[in-house]
Amino acid sequence: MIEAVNLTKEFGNFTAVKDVSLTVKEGKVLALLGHNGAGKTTTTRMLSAILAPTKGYAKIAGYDTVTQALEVRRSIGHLTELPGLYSRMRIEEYLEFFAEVFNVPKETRRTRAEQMMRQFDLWETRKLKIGEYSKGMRQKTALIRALIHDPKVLFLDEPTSAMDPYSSKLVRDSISQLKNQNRTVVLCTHNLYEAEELADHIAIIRKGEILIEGSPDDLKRRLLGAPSFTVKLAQYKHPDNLPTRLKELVEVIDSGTDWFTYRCEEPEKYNPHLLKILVESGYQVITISETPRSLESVYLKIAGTPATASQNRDESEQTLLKLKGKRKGWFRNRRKEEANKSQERSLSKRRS
Amino acid sequence: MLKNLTLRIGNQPPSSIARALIITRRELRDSMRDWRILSPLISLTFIVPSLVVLAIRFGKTMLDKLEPGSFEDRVLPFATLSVGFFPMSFSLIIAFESFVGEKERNSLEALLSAPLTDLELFMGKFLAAVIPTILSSAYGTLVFVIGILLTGGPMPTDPLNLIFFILLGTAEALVMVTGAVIVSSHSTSVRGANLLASFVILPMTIIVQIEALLVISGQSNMLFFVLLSLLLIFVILLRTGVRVFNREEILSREGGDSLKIKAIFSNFFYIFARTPEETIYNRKSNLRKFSLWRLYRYDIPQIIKLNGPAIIMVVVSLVIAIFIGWWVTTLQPIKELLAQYQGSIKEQVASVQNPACNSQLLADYGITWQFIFFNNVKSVLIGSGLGFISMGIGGLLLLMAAIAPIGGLGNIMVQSGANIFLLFIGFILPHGIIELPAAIMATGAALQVATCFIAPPNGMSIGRNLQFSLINYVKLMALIIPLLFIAALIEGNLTPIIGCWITNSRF
Repeated sequence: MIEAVNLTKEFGNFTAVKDVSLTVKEGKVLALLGHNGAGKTTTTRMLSAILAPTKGYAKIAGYDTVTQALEVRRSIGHLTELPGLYSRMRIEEYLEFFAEVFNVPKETRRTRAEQMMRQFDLWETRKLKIGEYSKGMRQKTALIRALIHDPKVLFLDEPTSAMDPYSSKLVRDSISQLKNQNRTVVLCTHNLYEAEELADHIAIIRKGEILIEGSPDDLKRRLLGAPSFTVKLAQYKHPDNLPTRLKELVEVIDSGTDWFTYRCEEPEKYNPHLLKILVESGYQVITISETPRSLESVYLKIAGTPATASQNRDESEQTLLKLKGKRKGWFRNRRKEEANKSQERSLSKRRS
Repeated sequence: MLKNLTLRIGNQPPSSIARALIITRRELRDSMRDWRILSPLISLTFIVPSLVVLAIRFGKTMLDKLEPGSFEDRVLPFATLSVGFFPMSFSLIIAFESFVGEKERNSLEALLSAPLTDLELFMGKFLAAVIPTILSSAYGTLVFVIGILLTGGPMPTDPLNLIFFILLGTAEALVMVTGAVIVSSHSTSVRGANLLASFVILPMTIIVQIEALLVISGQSNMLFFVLLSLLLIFVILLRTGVRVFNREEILSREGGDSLKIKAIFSNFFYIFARTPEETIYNRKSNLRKFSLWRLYRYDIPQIIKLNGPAIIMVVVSLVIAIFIGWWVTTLQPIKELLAQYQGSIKEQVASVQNPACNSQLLADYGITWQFIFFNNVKSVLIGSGLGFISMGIGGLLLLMAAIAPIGGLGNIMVQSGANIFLLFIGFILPHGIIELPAAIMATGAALQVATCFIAPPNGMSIGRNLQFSLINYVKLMALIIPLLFIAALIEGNLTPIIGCWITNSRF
């Protein structure tokens, strides 16, 4: 549904976006994460055919963003970073105007607007001028505007900023609903929880370049290592007493009186074995749960914090080079190294 | 009917008037809800013309004493023409706000990402600004006329004239609003647009003053040419507006209000160091940075190619100038004048030595190659300067004025039995083959600079295109000046020898 190849945007001597390549399939949500000024908005503007790329190309719903800009704009809904509404209009008039601009048939305009206003709790306030709305209400109005023509692709720039928790949930739910209706969504956000909850695919962008991309789980695995699991046992047994077979299978990284934590590359393959070994060894397993790992740690590891950006620049540049060069190979090697290390550790333990 | 009406400009997709009107309707509704716009507009349209009616009625007695008849003949038509201008000048605010106002309120991006063509957007905004302007001007005029009639005065002007004045007001509105919408689509803030307002209002005030002078001096029929000129300017401005309208530029232009001398210089050197094609297509080539070799091998040929249409226009103007010069000498009064001297001219042509072959005479008048060179450089620079400030017309007229006498002289020479062909080969061709192309290229470059705002290359703003055209002009001078130098050397030293040898020092 969205295909971007080497998208580059230069403003005079300044390169805002460099060689961004993306693919988002129908019904998927892509979250673009990055600091302010990282190039997220410029990327979405290029994808929504407002800005023409200096290099590269993009196709939205099969239409080229430069040569078929009108078709692209017809197929998309764009929620801009700042809602920017017409304050002297009422929401009904505002939606009517955009519905007309987007060629929504006259007979469905009102029903569609009403349905959306009700969905986002704005029906009761429809007689007020938009200028009298709160920030959150304005944001919701702008979101309805982006959805009024039922677009196939949505670009949402900070959709829940300035919203109260209830409204944020409403918006998140509607994005999930859109996803279920096979709509494709590109979400620019600083809200990592939101990105993790909604996105199938995440791309972290810095200085106009995509540093890393993948599913949230994939990113965590690649950057934070293999997932870890905590096993809660019914009775106390020192971790040293755990069966050797189990220690050979996974790497135990921590333990307590009635629990232990292990890291496992392929949980779907090894967890059933582990459970079987524990049961056979007479342990009573109460729970096996994955240790939560936040997207925030992934993000900070890759994009860094603005305050430490200069300190971490060299490291980040190296990371960037590594990611740009042999992205897959680098992670593969790193996983191999980790696997070797854990193997060595288990061997040395066995010897001792 | 409007639903099916489409327009197409250049390589843009077809644009529907009906879709432009969606924008217009919204804008009009929005403007009419803003009391800050509405109250002055109503006041200038209805109250001010009524006050003018009262003032004129009171002043009538005094005027009748001073100059009987002037009230009906001069004052009333003049006032009819003027009252329409007051509301027009205010309603320009809507035009100045059209794009930059929306940009400041952050509502523009949503509109730019809608499936509207550039022309639909531009026309929508333009119509929204021009409709209140035209209506307020027409209503203002009508209120004045009705006011005069209601207070027992005569009809201020005859009905045909009245329609003509309203048409004139409409043409003024079209020009002013188009200019203001262009300013709005190229400003970074409403404040910036308002600062540039004088560039729209001042020229129009001068035009209104000219109109007033024509009316007062009883030359109202000349207003027809003013109307035609205004409509022509409107068409040029509209084309420019649509051509330079660039949604990308509007969105990406930030913080342009602050004077960034460093950025201006950096931009200047950035453009200077690249070939014209690199700048236009925004691409990097493998050519090394700026060098004299690159300047003459790539930059200048590309500039000449780029200035092609302007150069063609100069050549056409020169041909026209020669024909005008020739034609003028065939006009009856000049023909009669020449006929009186025909005999003596023929005699002189047949007997007298060509003064160009008299080296002593040339030396006495100080006609050396240095004099010719500096004179030609001065002419080129003055012509360019005139061109820059007059949309290229001044430069063209100067060159035409220099060339036209040659046509006239040619005719006189032919009539007098001189061998014009030999004279041309001997006295013009040796240096003219270098000097004339140099002058044509320089005038073409000046024309290009002066008209750069009409149609900048795709993706280039007016400011950047002005910089680009000026840099191209400067680069081209690296060819023009040496050519003029060589031409002057030939003209001062070789041309007299060749010419005198070919023509045997005769005409």
